Amino acid sequence: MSEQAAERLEAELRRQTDAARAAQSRYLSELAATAAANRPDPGLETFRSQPEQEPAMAVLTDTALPAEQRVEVLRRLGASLSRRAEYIEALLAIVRDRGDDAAVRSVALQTLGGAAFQVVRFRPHQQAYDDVLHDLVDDPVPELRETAVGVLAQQHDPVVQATLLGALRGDGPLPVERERAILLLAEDDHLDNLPWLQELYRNDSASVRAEAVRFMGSYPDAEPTLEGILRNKDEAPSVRQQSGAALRFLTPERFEAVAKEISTDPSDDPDVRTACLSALQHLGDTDRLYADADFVNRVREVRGDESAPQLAQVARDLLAQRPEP
Amino acid sequence: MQIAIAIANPDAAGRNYLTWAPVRATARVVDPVGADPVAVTVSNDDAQAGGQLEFAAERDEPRTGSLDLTLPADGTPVEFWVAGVVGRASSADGDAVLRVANPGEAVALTTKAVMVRVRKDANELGAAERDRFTTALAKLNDQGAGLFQNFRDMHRQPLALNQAHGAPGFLSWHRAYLLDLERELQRIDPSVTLPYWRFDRPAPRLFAADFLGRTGPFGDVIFSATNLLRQWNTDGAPGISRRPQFNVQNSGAFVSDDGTTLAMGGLPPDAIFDTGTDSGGFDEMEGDPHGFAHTSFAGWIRSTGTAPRDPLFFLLHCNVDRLWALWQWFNNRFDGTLPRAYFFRGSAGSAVATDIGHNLLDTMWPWNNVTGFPRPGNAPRTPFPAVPTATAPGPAPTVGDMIDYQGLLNAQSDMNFAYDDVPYGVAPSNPPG
Repeated sequence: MSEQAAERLEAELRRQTDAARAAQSRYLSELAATAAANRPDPGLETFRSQPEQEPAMAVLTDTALPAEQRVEVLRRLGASLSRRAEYIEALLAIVRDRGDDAAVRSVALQTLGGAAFQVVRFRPHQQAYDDVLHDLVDDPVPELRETAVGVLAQQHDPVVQATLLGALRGDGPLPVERERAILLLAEDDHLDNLPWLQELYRNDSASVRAEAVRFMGSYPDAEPTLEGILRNKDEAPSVRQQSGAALRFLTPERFEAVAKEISTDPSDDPDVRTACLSALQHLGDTDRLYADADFVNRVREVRGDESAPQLAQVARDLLAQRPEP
Repeated sequence: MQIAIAIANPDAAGRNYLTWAPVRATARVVDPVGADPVAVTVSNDDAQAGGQLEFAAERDEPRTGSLDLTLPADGTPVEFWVAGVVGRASSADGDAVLRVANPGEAVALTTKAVMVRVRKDANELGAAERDRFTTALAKLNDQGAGLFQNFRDMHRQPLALNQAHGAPGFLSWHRAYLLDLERELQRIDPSVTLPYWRFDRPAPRLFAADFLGRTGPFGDVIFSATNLLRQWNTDGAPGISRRPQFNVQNSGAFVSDDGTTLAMGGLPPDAIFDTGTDSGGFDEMEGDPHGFAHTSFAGWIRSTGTAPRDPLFFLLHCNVDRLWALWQWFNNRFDGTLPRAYFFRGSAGSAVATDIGHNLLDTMWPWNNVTGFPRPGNAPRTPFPAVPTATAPGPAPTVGDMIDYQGLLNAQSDMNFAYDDVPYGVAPSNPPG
């Protein structure tokens, strides 16, 4: 980089950092003023003399202030607030308080989630954080319920798994919509989720069916179902492609056989054919693939198919990478 | 007359991959036609297209677009230095062509094709670069049966997470982690680098079906027909669980912007990398933007134990590392022996020390193959993989080894990676020394 270009870059970064500092300084002054205005004692000067977090926490914890103002504190200063133990306790208290504003609680939960990434520093608060997540499972705010159940289910938390299973069987209210509950249980493939996933697959939404099919890929017993879906020309192409990926994970050989048929079947959907051919080209035993002369000949017929240009391109690539005999 | 060009650190196939860091090269006459020295000019073969190179006679001299050399007729090699031009990186292997010609002559005596290979903004990546990356990553994953499993296992259990989070070694450990992954991708396709996700900006081309997937109506991640990431599999489960909680089409994540991040630490009198106080060193970025970028989603990327199951994790962390690199350039923070570059300068157990794995001289798990409390019980990847294109880091890198990543203070520290918008060297007002 030329000296002039380096100088321009430095000047630009200087401008950005100066602007960030100025904005931060203005914001802290506003916070101090807001905190002082809402709490006459100890007064503005006292707040100004204290660390930036003090007026920030004063504003954040003042439930009389507009929610947007409190959310902004978390968005702008949440990370530095979550460096101090007492402030983490305050954030946990906000999330726990069902009488507080839902948006503030939600962003406070997000802030705690971000702080939890700092594993060593967050360790003293981990149990309290987990307890709050469990408290949220029956919270009246759907967004908070869904976040908490999602985080816990991904950790294979047995308590939340029992809650979801019980609710799916009619024992108690579902903390999240039924489809979501099944998918969250499916995060743990040690559970017998296949019947639930088969139920989910009967959903009208292709998006939901795609998710059901995706998780079926964790269950060897689902192989016939997945092959059937991959072959089903009446199914949405996106669901069929997902089914192909799941089938390939369970039995690569079976996928290869079916994918060879589909990818060279001119009556089938171009996207499904392309996805099958692309997987065959890049993954698995390509020596065996190229040794299948009948298949290679059929791919040759595909390479000039102007009605499916993407498929034709994949076919040309596949043939171009074929090793010399 | 034949001229031979050699550039240091070629790969096993003789190909060179350059960044912004200068690399030693030589030119020599192969078949002299007389006893007189031969004057030649080294330059770019095409100044308009492809990756661009610049040259210098000495490593630390200012570089130019062409360099005149006088080659002895007896074939003695003449040394020069070559590097990529910031802003003109390659988009394909071998698209940066070094040309040697007699001064003023249009006909080249010889050419050598190389690649200026740097990490780029994922949202700006060309289609071919994008496809090479997704294909290499999918192959590394190999539906859960590939080497990617090691990277997933390195970022899972509490003792493993302790090695890398909530303490000052966060940045060094993740720099090594990304580089290790990137080198594995380059074994599959040497033209690939890790792209970064600028999480403070909209990145609609990243969250698209032909890249890391777009989100469907029910939160399913949808891939295009040719995107092999459809075959992604971790922990025995196909696919990816990820639902953005911000509008990926027109918004960044819930994070501070680059300017705010770069303003952390850095400038005197608060130029301490990590004081362990509340005053705001650069390590605060582990919370915002890093942590907030993670928690801008529902799904695997939201929690430490599951985050690496989502390929987005690596692009997110690539931007974290880019921010560190940019901060280093802006503030001249490449010398780990100085407290402003790294505060805990000893090793675990020394006078001023923090948790093991987070002090400057501590080796990092798992590459050090040290197991047993307080280190994790096993080491999924050891040693750190050696590559012909760089000598650093060594097989068991320390926290400090990862700081001078472009070999600014020690040429041997160059790790052969760089960012498209972070130059070599330091900002002009912060000269080294």
